[in-house]
Amino acid sequence: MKSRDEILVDGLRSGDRGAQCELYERYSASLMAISLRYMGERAAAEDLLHDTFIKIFGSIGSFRYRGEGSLRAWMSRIVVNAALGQLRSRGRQQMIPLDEHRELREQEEIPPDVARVPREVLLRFIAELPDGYRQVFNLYCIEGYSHRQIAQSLDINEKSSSSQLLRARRLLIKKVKSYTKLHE
Amino acid sequence: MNNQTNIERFDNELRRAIGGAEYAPSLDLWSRIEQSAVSLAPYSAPLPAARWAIVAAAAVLVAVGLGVWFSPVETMPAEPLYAAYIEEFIEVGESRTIAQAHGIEHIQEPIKRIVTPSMQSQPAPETPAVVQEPEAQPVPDSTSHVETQEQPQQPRYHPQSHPQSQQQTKRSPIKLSLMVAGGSTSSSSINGAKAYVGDFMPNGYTNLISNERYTPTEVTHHVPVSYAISVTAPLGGRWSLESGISYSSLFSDVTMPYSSQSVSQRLQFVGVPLRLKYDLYSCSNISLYGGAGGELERCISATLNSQSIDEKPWHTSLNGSLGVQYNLTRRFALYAEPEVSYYLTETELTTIRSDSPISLSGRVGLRVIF
Repeated sequence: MKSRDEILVDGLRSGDRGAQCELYERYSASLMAISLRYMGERAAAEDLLHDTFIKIFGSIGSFRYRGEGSLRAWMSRIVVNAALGQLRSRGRQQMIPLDEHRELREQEEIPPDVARVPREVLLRFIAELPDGYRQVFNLYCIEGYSHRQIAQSLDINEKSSSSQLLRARRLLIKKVKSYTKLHE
Repeated sequence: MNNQTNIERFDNELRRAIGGAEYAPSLDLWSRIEQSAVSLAPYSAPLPAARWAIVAAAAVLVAVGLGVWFSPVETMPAEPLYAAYIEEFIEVGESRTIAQAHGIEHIQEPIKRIVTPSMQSQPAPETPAVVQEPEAQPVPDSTSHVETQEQPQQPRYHPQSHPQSQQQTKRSPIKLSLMVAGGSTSSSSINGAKAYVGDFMPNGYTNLISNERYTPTEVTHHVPVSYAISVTAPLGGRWSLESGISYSSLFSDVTMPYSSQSVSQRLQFVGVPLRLKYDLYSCSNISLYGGAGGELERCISATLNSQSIDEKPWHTSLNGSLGVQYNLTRRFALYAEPEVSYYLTETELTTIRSDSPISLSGRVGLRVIF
């Protein structure tokens, strides 16, 4: 028996508008969260999501169903690729040189309890990060890439990647601490 | 708990919290998408491999049929089916008319021999009647003028000048084949993706594609190419067995996550095919045959832009083919074989075989007949 995703894909391949609408309803919120994580601004994230859905509808022929979750994973990759491509084309990567001594001090900080912060607030904190920090943080912490892999995909050196991550992490720790202190 | 563990815990908690997050877009976003999507043409599925195979087989049959219809028929005595066909018309006294109508002026001499009583007593059908030419028996008046016309051509029908024809009724000769093949049914690529053959990988890109991360977002396959040398040995009757060694190369352009650049993926195989073949029909210089079998291949190299990647070592496939052979000389023949293959080995890598397990290829080659 075909899964709901497989039925949706069949509908998309035949250009069925109902299938397109259902796909949007099922996945737009999760894809929007990814888009927002990378773009940082709601308007830019929605523009990216718009372009992403158009690309998904147009390229559904290349999708191969590999089980539950494969459609979501495929669409997520398209969002991430589109976001990185757009940020690259705008030249918005702000890679700030690493302050080695400051980095060592940051390592000594005790991170706060993230579980006490609502998800949407965490999303907002990430969205507020500078572009370069945010890209590296997303690729490292959420997608699970190494600094070498990030350096290769963003065309930066590994030290830049690790410095952006440390700064992103430091800013997030600061924001989370402030939030938890305020809501104690 | 040390600092590193604290950092890891912080990252893990963030990943858990953010990983499955959802954020509702604006209410009007769907209407914007819907307007933009109006111009999108529905996806059109590629023609299934089986249909291509049928089309190819039909084309081959038509081509062979036309070749048989219009080809010269010097070796007709070795073809019993055709001889029977002609004999039937001779018996009703229409051979000349029918032959002329079909443009096969050169077959009257064999016809004469087939209907000659002395020929009917010949024990071995593989010895055509023309061997007896100097002692030819008188023939009915209806065909006597034909014999006169065909006298200069008689030596052409001597079995010693047509060893291949003589052997057709015994056993097929051993054949050595040199083959090149290519073709498939489809490629998997996102619409609009251009085929790009890159030989670079910026900044050692291979780390992105360690096997656990091998999840390309776009793949464009090039036509796979194979070369082979094989030997066909007769089994008796119309059956023969073919085997040899083959080399295949699969080439694709892949785009990995988080990259806008494609890189080249190449897989190379050395294989041993084994096919059982059956001669379906032959006349003049053209023969038609079918075959079925399998192939065991060893992956000798799998690279992504010159960097080695893991691939299953052994691959198996089943195949069926229809072949046409055209004899250039007594020793050499050209052949073409549309072949349908089904690849049984599942692989983690995205290749044209994994995207389309049933594939159609066209094989052409030179055959040496011993």
